[in-house]
Amino acid sequence: MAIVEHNLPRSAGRPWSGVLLTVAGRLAQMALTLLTASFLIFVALQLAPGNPVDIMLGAKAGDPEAVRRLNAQYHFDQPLLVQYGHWLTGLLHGDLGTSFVFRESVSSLIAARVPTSALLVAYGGVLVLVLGFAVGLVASRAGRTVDTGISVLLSVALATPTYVIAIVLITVFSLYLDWFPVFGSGDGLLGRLHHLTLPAVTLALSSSAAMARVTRAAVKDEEGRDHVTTAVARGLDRRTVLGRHVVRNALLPITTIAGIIGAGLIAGTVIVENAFGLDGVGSLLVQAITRKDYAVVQSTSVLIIAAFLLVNAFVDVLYGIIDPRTRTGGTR
Amino acid sequence: MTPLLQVDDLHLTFGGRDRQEQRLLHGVSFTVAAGEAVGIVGESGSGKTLTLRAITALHPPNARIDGDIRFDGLSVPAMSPRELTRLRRDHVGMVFQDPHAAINPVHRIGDYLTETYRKDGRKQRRDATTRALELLHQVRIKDPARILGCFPHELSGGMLQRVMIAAALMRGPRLLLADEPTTALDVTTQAEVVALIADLRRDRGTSLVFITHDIELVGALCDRILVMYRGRIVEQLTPAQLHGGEISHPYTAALLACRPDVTRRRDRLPAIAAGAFEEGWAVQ
Amino acid sequence: MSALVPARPRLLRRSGGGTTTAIRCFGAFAVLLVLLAVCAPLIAPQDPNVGDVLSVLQPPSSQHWLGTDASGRDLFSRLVFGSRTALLGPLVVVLVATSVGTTLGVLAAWNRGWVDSLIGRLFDLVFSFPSMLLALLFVTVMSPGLFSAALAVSIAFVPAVGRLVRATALREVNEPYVQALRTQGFGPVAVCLRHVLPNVWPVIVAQVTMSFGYAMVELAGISFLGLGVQDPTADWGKMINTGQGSIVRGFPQESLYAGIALVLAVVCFISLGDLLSERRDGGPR
Repeated sequence: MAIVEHNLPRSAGRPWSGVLLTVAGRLAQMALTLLTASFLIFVALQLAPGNPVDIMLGAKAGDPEAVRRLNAQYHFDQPLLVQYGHWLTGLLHGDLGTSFVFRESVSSLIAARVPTSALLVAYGGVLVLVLGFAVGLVASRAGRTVDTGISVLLSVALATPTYVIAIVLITVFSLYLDWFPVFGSGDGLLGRLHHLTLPAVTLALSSSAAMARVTRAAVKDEEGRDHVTTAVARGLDRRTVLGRHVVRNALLPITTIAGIIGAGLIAGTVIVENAFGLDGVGSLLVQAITRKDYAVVQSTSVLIIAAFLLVNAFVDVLYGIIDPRTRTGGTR
Repeated sequence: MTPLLQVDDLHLTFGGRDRQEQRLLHGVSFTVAAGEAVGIVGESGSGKTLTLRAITALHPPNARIDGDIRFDGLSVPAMSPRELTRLRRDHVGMVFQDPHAAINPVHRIGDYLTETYRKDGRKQRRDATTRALELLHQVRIKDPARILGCFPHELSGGMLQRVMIAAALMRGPRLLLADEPTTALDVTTQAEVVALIADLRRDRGTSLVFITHDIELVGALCDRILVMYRGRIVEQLTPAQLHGGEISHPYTAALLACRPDVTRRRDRLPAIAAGAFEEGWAVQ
Repeated sequence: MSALVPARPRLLRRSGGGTTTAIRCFGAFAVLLVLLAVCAPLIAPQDPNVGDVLSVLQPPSSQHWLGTDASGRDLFSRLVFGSRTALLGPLVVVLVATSVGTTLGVLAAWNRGWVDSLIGRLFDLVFSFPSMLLALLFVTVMSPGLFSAALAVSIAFVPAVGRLVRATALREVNEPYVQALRTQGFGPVAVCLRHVLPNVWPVIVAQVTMSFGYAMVELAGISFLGLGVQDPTADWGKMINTGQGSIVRGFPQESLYAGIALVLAVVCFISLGDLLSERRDGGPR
């Protein structure tokens, strides 16, 4: 990047401590939100229909001795706040309780599902970045006809729900072309990626459209700025002007919506995993809801919210790094 | 001897075909000799900025240019993109009005100053940093080494305008184009920046085209004054003629009258109504 | 630059006309959908919920225009009846979300201070949940079904409406005319209902139309997951889900038809909302 940087004091070391402060603040705020959210979910699930003890006992439901034993074992006989306390201390020890339906500890159940979901989100995220950015950049440089064409396609992609995209892709690529497997997760990294390609494309398509729109608008907006005229007037070649000035600065608005896009990808896994029969966290959540397995619902929901908040915090920090003006806190 | 810059019967037109034609420059002609300072005065919309930008082909892409512009005998409209890039980079320096808008906020001052050397060799890049420090010193910035590591938003408008002047001089241009470089600054800073420009160009023998709507400012800075109105040059003056009151065009007189003056008390400053001088000067 | 000004109004007028035509087209399509839902029993040739085990997964024929599903039910009839839940759900969502969101938004703008910050916090909290997750949790608590799904989506939509209304109302509340009315002794409720709300109204209408489309997506998604509309009621989201089993057997039509119907309806409402807000802002951006 800079030829001057190494032999110069960075302007007083302020920028990076500023970033650290932002990170710390964000983390504290995140923890608080997560605490509130987890408590609300906990309370709400207490109100949900279906008694977990009855579900566990199955045929033996109604046996007062068995009910009392289970109630004591899972602290169901204690006040709500105490129960929540138990869950929270368990969370800190990595113990999220037991799934009544799967007859397995919730933490190992979730741990087994996380890799698929994480890989799916990462794969989708890369697709959004590459595809969305490329299409947006092309649209911003293209002539009127191409630009309008892309813009219409983007509108359709934006308005098409993921589950519709899923069935279209399955029909075309699995049924008729037989390029990709329909269900399952595959073995090994390559096998997994192969199995995850259709799901990741499904997950990424509408987010990519949003990304492309913002990129196009940001690049067009940035091209009209004074500092770009200055760069041209200084005799920089076209590629340098585009890269160092137009695209570099367009990254700011793009980063702003990256948080929304990341959050959308995480939330989207719920539907995509179900559509493709992937055993990820999202499909686990839906299974748990249908089978009233509330211990699993509680923990998977909190996990999804945590991922959601983490992405937003990460984007905030990223923004601070990309835009020096937010870094130094306005010292004129 | 050919002048350094020769603008000959320059017309600039927007639109055409399905849209109504808008002609914004009507046959502008002037020359700038080597080492000469020329000031262009006129109100907003008189076409002075368009004229300036056309010199290095920076006019809007949807505008059409007729007439010729010659830099050192070479026709600018006939130049290839590559030649244009070289002209802008090596021979013509430009200073813009609002430094906070005209300098990219995301790069450090040092990067901004040495940007045009990025494609050069290692040695040239190191020399560029040395030259940047030297120039910052010459534009009277204290502690240049620290400033190199600063971001634009950390500097005041006056400081940043000096940085932009330094940047324009990095490759030793033969012509400096200044587009209202003092308008966005406060009065004291304005005077300092003008004095700086005057000194720097005298020391280097750089030619200067200076745009402003402040007619007395150009009177103090320039060897020759062009008055622009509605896309044409309506009068050419020397500072002596200006100060001696030898003004022939009523618009120039009106411009002069619009300046506040500490020696006279007035309730209101006169303003020039839009198109007040149009009759008799409108063409076609 | 002043010389360029005359070109602008002409440009505006031309695109303004285009916008109005587009609004009429999408509006007509929306009306058509509503008619389809209302007159479903008259249009559908067969009972959508009764299947014939002997005619399972039939291709299109004169008897079954779009073929049959895996339970032998007539797909065309199910598609027609599916428009009912598709429109009813979003209707509930926009009614609930708009009334609650508008009330909270105006309340926040009018009172400022702690009321404003409390409502703001509430909105932030709801925003920290992914809307799909919020809806799923709510459905869990309420037990699956169209109305609990619709209520769930409403909650997720309240903050968006509320923030928009608050921002718009805040501008109005600070207008001199509102101040004048207040000094004349009009009560807050009267001023809000008679003066502030009508000015906020165009913003709400555009937002509601767009929300209608997005609510349709979310609701069909919940039904797709099996937590919304329950069997045997016909619903597009549900049809996409049940039809998925037939895709691998080589019969993608159920999912595809339902998907196409859904996308058409969604595009119609979202574009309508887009155009309405565009017209309000004075020309396309």
